[in-house]
Amino acid sequence: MKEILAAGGYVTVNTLGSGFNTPNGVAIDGNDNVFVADTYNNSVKEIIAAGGYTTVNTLADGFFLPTAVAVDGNGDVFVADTFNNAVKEIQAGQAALAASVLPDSRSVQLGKPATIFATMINSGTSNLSGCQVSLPALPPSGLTLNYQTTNPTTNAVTGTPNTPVTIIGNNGSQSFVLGFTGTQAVTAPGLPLNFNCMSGNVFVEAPVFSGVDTVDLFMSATPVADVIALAATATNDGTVHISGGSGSFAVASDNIGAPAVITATIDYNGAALPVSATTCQSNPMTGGCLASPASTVSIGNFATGTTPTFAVYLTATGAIPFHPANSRVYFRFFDSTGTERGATSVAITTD
Amino acid sequence: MKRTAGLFGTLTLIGGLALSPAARAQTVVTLGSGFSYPQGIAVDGKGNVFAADGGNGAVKEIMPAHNPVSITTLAGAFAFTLPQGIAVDGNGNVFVGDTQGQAVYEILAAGGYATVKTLGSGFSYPYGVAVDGSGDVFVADTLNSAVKEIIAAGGYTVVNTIGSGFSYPTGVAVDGRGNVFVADAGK
Repeated sequence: MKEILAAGGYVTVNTLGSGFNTPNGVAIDGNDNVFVADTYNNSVKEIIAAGGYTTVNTLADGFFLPTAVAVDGNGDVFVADTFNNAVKEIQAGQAALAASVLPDSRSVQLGKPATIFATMINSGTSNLSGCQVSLPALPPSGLTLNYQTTNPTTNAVTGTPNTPVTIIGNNGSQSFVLGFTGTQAVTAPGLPLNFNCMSGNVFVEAPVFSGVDTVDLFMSATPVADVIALAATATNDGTVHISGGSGSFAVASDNIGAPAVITATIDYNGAALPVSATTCQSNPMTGGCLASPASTVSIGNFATGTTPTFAVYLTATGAIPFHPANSRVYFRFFDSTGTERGATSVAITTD
Repeated sequence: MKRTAGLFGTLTLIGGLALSPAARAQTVVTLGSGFSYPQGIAVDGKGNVFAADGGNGAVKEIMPAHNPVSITTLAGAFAFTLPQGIAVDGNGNVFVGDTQGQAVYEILAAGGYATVKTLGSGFSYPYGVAVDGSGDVFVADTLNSAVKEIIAAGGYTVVNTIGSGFSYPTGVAVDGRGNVFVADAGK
């Protein structure tokens, strides 16, 4: 199987996967996975994008010289089963995998690892094996990722580094610590991570949800601020349930990097939501504002090891359905160069 | 970073997400009947499936949501020779690689799949076809051992060769970033 890269003007040709015998048909899904009608092997195969198009799984066989495939948005695969004179559908299963990370923004000096915690949840009914975490197919240059399972109560590492694990079904979960290291400067806001498992010989991956299982990752030659931020909502479910047009949440922060001038801002990650927001630095004991709420808050010297808290007040001007992947409020910390040095987010809804 | 309570707050949030099925199980069902050596297949955003039914010289649309599965022939008045490749764009227009007819065709959705246009020229056994979001059509030009792009701008007359080193390319697909994937049956 071959890929002709658009970048560079359709000159570079890469080979994807191996083991095919006269493949005649190809299709791509929205996660860049490649489906192949492997004609003389009488099978339909999937080349997994995660890990660089090296893993090839057989989705189904029993075909008679299949020559073409197509895939829809649900992952259903359609097959021209040519010498059986039939059109067939390989139906998507019900396995489901989700992932989240915490914190979702780190800024470090090169040579120092950036670590975050992650959790994978198996909400399908069957156990999933081979569960692992990896960088996307085209990671930032020089960036590597190591992962290891942890005890979610103590955060102590368990098991063996970079070893896939099994996650049991019916909302079984596994926590991990992820360590990023770089050999050159990295500017990767919204870096998607691959959280994937196997269900038998079927590949399962968590959908990418910005602010939930992506990480804003920055590495630079000089020491920089690295603000760890956590949002807390009244219902402690990561969601602000706006009632009567207004709602609020609190943000706790800790600069574990270099001191810096920091401005905290609020955004919606590009979504057009009927909501406005103001914020203030708050008294950590009372939660009350230290100054009048405004659209941003500046901290003249966010010193290392200090832990300012913030209050965020939301005013909704329309209905916001519960959609935690899209309806989110992001609280971000920027240094004087305009580079993000920390972030957290909450889902919002008027439901 | 010992704030496991915060972590579980995030977990609860995840539990509320409507998860899309990401796995593919091995349940295989047959859609309709009456095909003769179907060699091309495509699916649109509504789940309608399009088949190049080569042995019948026909292009067909399968609507799996109907019970029983509904099958209609597209451009039934047009004489395809051996349609083997098929693709569908976001507007429902259907593209056909007619290998023995040495031509790439577009069956226009407007007017109910009755009008057929010839796209580009110079193909030798054009098999697989794909279409990107701009309407540019990619062709596995099998016996020319080449992969080609028919440019939509200008009315599908400009044909560019892309990549190199192919032997017997028969299948082609294109992703959202314009990368082209090729099944080369000769390698």
